[in-house]
Amino acid sequence: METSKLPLRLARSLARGRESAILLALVLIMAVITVFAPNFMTGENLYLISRQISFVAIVAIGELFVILTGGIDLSVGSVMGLAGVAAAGAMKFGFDPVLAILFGLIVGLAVGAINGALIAYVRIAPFIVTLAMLSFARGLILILTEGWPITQIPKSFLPIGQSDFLALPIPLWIMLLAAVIAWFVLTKTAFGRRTYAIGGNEQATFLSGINVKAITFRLYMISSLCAALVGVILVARFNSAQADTGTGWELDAIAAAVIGGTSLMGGAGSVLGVLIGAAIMGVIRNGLVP
Amino acid sequence: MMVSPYYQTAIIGVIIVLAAVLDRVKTSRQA
Repeated sequence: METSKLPLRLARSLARGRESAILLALVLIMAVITVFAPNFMTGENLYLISRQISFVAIVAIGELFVILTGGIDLSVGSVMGLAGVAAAGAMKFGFDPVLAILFGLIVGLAVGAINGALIAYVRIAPFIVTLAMLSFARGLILILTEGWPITQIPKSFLPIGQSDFLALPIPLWIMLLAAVIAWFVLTKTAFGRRTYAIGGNEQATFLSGINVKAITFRLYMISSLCAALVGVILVARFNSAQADTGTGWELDAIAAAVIGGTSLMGGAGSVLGVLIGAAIMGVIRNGLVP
Repeated sequence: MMVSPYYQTAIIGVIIVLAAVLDRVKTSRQA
């Protein structure tokens, strides 16, 4: 009896939520595109879209954490590239793929820590710090690679970007895992509530005895970690680390978050909204290609 | 002075942060 009512209850809670309008927009956009491009709704095309969406969505989920506090992270594109180059470089020097992935993620975390420290403790505007990091990290990539792609990626590393699991691309599963973790952290933990609180009113949050600086510091690390994760997956996807990987992705990630209902002033936004925002962008981009 | 464009990109990032830090130091002293 209870299980038969479950879809109805899910539909009701979705209709009441902030995301119902953008979900409706997504459905309408897909319907319109299907009318003009009959091969849009094919299984193969939806498979390709799902893989493309998953990359942007993971970066956007990281960006969501930062935007929720009223901040912004413009460096995610360059962090993606740097993490990819770090992981590919480590593998070229003979490291095990697992260690190389960890190295790429640690590089991302380190960049996030620098961003976070300058923003939270030195109190420089997030826009300035991450804009500088965008330029610095991209410069570092170009210095390290001299503009050449890093190839000779071990075969055992490639499945995370190229293979399927249960007929769905592995990057999509990674995105779903990241989304569930982010949803849990933001809605079920004190850390998540405090993140929303900082975006709502930073001064009041500080006066409530919450360590705003420590939380802000960690949020920028989360954002960079998500970007680094995508950077590493893209190395497996393209079988090489390109010097220009991630260029312009910060704008896609911010756009996906904002389309999904995240307020740039902070305090409002959800993981589900970001996923729908990324889906809208992916669908439009795919649907407009003849 | 000839500097490779690759280094220029990285140096621009460093200069932006240095300028922001200097500005921060200046404003905190005034306060």
